Amino acid sequence: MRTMGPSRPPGPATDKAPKPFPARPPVDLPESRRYRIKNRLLGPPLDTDQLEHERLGIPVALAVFSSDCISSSAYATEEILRVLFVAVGVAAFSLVTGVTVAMLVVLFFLILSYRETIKEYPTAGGAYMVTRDNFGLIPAQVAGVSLLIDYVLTVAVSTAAGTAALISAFPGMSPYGVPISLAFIGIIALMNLKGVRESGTVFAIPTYFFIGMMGLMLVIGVVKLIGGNLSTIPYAKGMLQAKTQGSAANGIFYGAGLAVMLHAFAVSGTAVTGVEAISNGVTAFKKPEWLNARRTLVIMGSVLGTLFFGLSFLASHVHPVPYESGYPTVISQVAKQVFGSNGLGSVLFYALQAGTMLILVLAANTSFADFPRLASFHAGDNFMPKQLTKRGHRLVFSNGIIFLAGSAAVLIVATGAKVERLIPLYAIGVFLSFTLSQAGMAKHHRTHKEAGWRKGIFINGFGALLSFVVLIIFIRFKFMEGAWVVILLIPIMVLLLTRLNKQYESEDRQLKHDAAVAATAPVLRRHVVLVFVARLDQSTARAIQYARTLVPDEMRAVHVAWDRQAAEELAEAWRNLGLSRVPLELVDCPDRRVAHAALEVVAREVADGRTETTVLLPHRLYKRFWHRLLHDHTGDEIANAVSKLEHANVTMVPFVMGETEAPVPAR
Amino acid sequence: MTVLPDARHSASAPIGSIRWREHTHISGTIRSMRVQPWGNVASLECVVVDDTGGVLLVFLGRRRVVGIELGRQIDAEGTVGAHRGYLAILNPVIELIAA
Repeated sequence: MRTMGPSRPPGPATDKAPKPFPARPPVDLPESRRYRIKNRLLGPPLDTDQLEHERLGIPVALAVFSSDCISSSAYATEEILRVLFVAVGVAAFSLVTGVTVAMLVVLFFLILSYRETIKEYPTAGGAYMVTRDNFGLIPAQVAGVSLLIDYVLTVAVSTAAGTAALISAFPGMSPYGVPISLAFIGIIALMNLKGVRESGTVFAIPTYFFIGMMGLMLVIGVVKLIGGNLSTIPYAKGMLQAKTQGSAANGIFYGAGLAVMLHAFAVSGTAVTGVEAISNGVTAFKKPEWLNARRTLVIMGSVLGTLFFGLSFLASHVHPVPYESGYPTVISQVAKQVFGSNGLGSVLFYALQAGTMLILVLAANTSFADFPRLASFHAGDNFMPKQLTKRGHRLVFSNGIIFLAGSAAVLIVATGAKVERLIPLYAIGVFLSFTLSQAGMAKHHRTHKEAGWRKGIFINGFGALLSFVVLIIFIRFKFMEGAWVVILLIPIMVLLLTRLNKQYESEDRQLKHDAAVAATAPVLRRHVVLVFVARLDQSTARAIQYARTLVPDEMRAVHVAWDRQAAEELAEAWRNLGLSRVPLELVDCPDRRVAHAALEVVAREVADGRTETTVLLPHRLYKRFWHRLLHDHTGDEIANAVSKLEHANVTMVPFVMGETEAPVPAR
Repeated sequence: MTVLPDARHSASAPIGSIRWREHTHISGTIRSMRVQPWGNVASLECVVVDDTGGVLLVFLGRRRVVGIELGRQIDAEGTVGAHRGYLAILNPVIELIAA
């Protein structure tokens, strides 16, 4: 008799006392070696519940988000001088402050523009979201791809520049630029995989240290300048060669045409990269988020502006000519001149170099926070591989991190970790995404017409225009030096992503279409189980044992006989087994296409349209991958062929091959 | 009729220490849950675990119980019975613990 109730009232009648429900399955499930290595390397896995952003106050937020932006001041002046000095010689030093001021105007408008963005998009900001909201998915891909490319470049540029700072302090290391940069990328990637949270102090110390040291250098420099104690650096071997010689006094009259100025202006655009970082992470701020974010943005802009201008100003008096090799850097030349090389001076010099190196490396870290998140947005909209939306072991987007590190490493190797070879690729993406997101903001103002929308249109419209102008100038001057790579890459990537999106969408439609109806539709009436056997062995036995637990309408073993002799022996062995429930069918296979013969057997079974067929395949699992290579994969071939038939279902019955052999029978 | 003591006032015992047919009070995390139909009625069964072991909580005749969600911390109190051969608390008095 069957009891209907879920349980009987507890009483002494039952002979077996209930057992406790095990908290863990009562079998030993050893973790794979890969997982153990991962645990060792990254620490224990984090629970999804632990995904909680610690909210950042302004001082910490400034350190977290501004390292990318502020660090640009370490190399922007040098990039301007590289352009100017080659074109006009020493006259460069009378032009560098002018170019810097021009870029600061751009910075000013960008900051104003991003203040608007932060206010209007306080939840999930960034160029991608703004563009998607106002222009649609495809333009958003353009904005997103440009940013992604730029994040890769940021990692490459910052680690290369950080390496340059290190080498400027220790010139003996100069042959090892590439390995040092790669090591930096590796360390940052590993730290990010570990999910070292955007935790304040890690960022705060180097960022503020750098700001402090730069500030100190500027103050001492200006004091020395006023006292007349700041001498110029004499021209040395290894420095860039000027095409024309001018005088330091009045560069404009010595051949610095508009073109050269515009060129220098364009490269100085690298200084403002990273401005967008705050708008991507408004949610990380303490309440009121958008207000704090805006304040931080303004502080960041002011700090960047001050440092960038200060360094350019000192450079215009100290005359540091960039070196052909990139080291020592302009900033280190200026620092040496300002601090001097006696006791305390050299300590300060090394401190500034260390600060520069640290903040540059941290700037790369900003990309490691932003790239995976942006990539996950793309992937969430079906425009990038779905794997990028998956949070890994430590709750970070591991795949995005690995992808970013890999691409940046390739760039480093390809360019030999030379900042000046990376710069032409840099900044295009940023300015393209600036343009798109600011234009998007202008459109947003026009559509929503919130209070003060006219001012908003002006600010964002002008921001978009300025970004666009810088973009065009940059492309004009850097096209041949490598900008074409990015200009080519962006449309190719966008095309690729749209193609990917089409694929995902069509798969989705196919999979989701009428799923509920399909799941509850009437089932087929007949169920047939076929066990494919090659010979009688342990793995086949496993499959037969499993088959015998099933209750189909019909069950049989099938042997595809490509060797009639072997088939005869198998049939003999089968007769001796006396397995009446599992009769053996022999199918001739004169052309030795075993998979095809199997397919025909199954096709015959499902042909009537009312039979569901289960195909059981003994499947050996090997201990080592090369053990697997020793065997042919007829089973896999059968599985692939048969699975394509409607109502044919393949079940692999695994047999785990042991490390030790079974005893050899005594003869 | 027995009056159950208020769950908040008795200390919870480790799940591994509970005994059949004894009144108990446990506290743990919901590891798994399922709705098991029995004829026309269904029961919500969930497994609650702590570091020492696990126990089945069975809500007879219910398909949903508000607050019973995967990963939730709960306190449960009742007499330990049996269900499908396992120790189980049938229709326990539960209290949700704020995350």
